Amino acid sequence: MNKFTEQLSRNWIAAVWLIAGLALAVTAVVLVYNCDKCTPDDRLSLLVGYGTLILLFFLGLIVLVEIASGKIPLANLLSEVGPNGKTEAASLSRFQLLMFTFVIALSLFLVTVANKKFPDHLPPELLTLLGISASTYAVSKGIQVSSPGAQAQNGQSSGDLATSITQDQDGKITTTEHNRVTGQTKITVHDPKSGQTTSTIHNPTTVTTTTTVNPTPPKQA
Amino acid sequence: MDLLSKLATIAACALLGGLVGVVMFKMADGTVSLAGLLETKGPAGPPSFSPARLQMLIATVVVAAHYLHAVITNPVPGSLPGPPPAALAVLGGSHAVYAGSKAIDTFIQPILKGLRKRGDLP
Repeated sequence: MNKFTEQLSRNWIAAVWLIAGLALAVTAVVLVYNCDKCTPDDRLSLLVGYGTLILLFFLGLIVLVEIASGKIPLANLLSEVGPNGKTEAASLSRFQLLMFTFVIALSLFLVTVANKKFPDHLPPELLTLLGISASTYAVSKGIQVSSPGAQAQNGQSSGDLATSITQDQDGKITTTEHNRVTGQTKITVHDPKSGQTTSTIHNPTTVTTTTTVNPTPPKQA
Repeated sequence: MDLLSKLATIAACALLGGLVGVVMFKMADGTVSLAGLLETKGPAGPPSFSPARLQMLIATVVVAAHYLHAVITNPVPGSLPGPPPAALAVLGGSHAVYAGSKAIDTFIQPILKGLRKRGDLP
């Protein structure tokens, strides 16, 4: 029922957009039709201009409304995604890149409105400003990705993880995983007869060995 | 044609202003999280306040505000003013300090920490 209501609501909103767009298009056609001084070429260029404006405006408006309503989530706009796939705290390099993008976009818009045309040339200092900002973001990302912690977490995919699987005469399967970066070794022994799996993790940094048995063997009387 | 350009200006103003407004509002109400913006995130240890980040934030805000002011009060309307070289130098220096600090936190601090643990360093 909820899905049906949601679908109905979306259709209703789409219908409103469509009607508003059509109303604007009809208004544009009436305006162009009533233009007495216009030549046929002028009328065509005006119609194309109005059509493009209406399409772009509604496209932008729909994206904006979806962002505002949360359907296009911005929650992680400033957050970095760590090497383990989890979202981390806000990133200052992303924040400053966003800020400069907004400032330069607004400036360009103000100048275009004042001049009624796009500026003929952009000052190289402006490009330097954006370049500094973007390269800081890139450097920050590079440092983050090449950090020892990130490499350790990506061990399996980057070839830092050595894995071997063996089976003995009793049918027990032994899997040994050694991470060359962290030095951690995990040995898993699975006994197909009893269904038990014993995992032993040896951590050389903290010099600890942890053994877990799954499922837990029954207690002897 | 005049009406079309006026309408295009209004539409662009509404969309750009709307986007900036929505992002700013979402930052203010916490949907776009700013938590940990001024904290180190290196593998050296738990997150802590970072002066390098603070100075970069201040430099960024100051240079951005200065440039926006220069555009608004531009004596030659219709041209985009270039930011002064001094502002670029300040911003570049600030960003270099930030990147250097991050590199030290990420690569040097863990090595020093390991050496201290082994007793090779006091």
